[in-house]
Amino acid sequence: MLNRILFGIILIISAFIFQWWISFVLSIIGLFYFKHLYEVLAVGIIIDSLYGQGIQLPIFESFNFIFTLILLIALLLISKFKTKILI
Amino acid sequence: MTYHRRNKNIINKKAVVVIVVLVVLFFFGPSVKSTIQWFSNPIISTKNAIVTPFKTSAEYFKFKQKLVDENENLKNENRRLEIENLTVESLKEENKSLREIVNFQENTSDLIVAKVISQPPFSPYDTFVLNLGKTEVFVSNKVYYSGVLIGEIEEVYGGTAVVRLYSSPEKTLFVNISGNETEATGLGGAGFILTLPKDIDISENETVFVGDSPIGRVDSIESDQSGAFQNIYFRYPFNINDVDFVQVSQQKN
Repeated sequence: MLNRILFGIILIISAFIFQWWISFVLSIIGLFYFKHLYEVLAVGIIIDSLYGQGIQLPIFESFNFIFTLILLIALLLISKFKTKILI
Repeated sequence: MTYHRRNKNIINKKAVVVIVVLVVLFFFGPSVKSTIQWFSNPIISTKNAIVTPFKTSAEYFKFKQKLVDENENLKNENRRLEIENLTVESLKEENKSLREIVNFQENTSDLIVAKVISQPPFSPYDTFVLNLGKTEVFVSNKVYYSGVLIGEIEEVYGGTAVVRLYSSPEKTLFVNISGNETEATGLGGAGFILTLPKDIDISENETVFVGDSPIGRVDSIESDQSGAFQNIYFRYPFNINDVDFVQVSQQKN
């Protein structure tokens, strides 16, 4: 539990101070290591809020959180992948 | 045989989290962004204050031969620039006298200096985060670095602003190269691409302009043997990762 809290804190701080890809790699590693690591969504929200939108979605032009959406999909896919491996 | 039942609670929990996050971001996105920008300014400024002294000390560990080569290159570059500078001085004089003849009214806009607190490669997109303090800027204000037009203010928050560089992927702008007005598209990583007919003679290192402001230098030219067009790649004439201060036009749109 302590590991998880520490990892979450490091992850969130990394989004502010490290290059974006370091936080991204840490998030993916964390998703494999910890169960339901929802902290990765905070990383996505921080990066999207800090650096602005990357690309505009053709459907929802006002939705500017592309990086968050990518991490959300990663969270769902990796959770599913882990469940399948365990079965 | 053992059958595993899917845990419906976990699926529901995940679905709830996904929906809540998306709904919050969709409806309260600007407030979330504003709060995070407010938090980020002191954190990033502190990090920069800690990291900056180490950046220069890392230079001491460069190999001697590499430094000698770099020194030689810089000397050559300096000689070339000194010669070029002589031409620039005479052109300046000529420009001044021509402006006097046509009674040219200089379109001056107030420029303010802002510190860049975050830039690529920290940003996944070609954006800068500026620390503005109490200075007021507006969305779409032009941003310059050493007289080179680099982008526009995209978002303004309390004390900070996000600048989108013209080199952001898919961003387009009209440029002038060798007297030809054409559309250039950002490629990301400070690069641009533009397409011109093959018969227009463009050389490497040629300057590209947006209006009167220079924006970049031609990096490479790619022409298809069978096609009638050539792709011209150009970049800002400096490394965007090294930009620490920029000038922001304060014209209200």
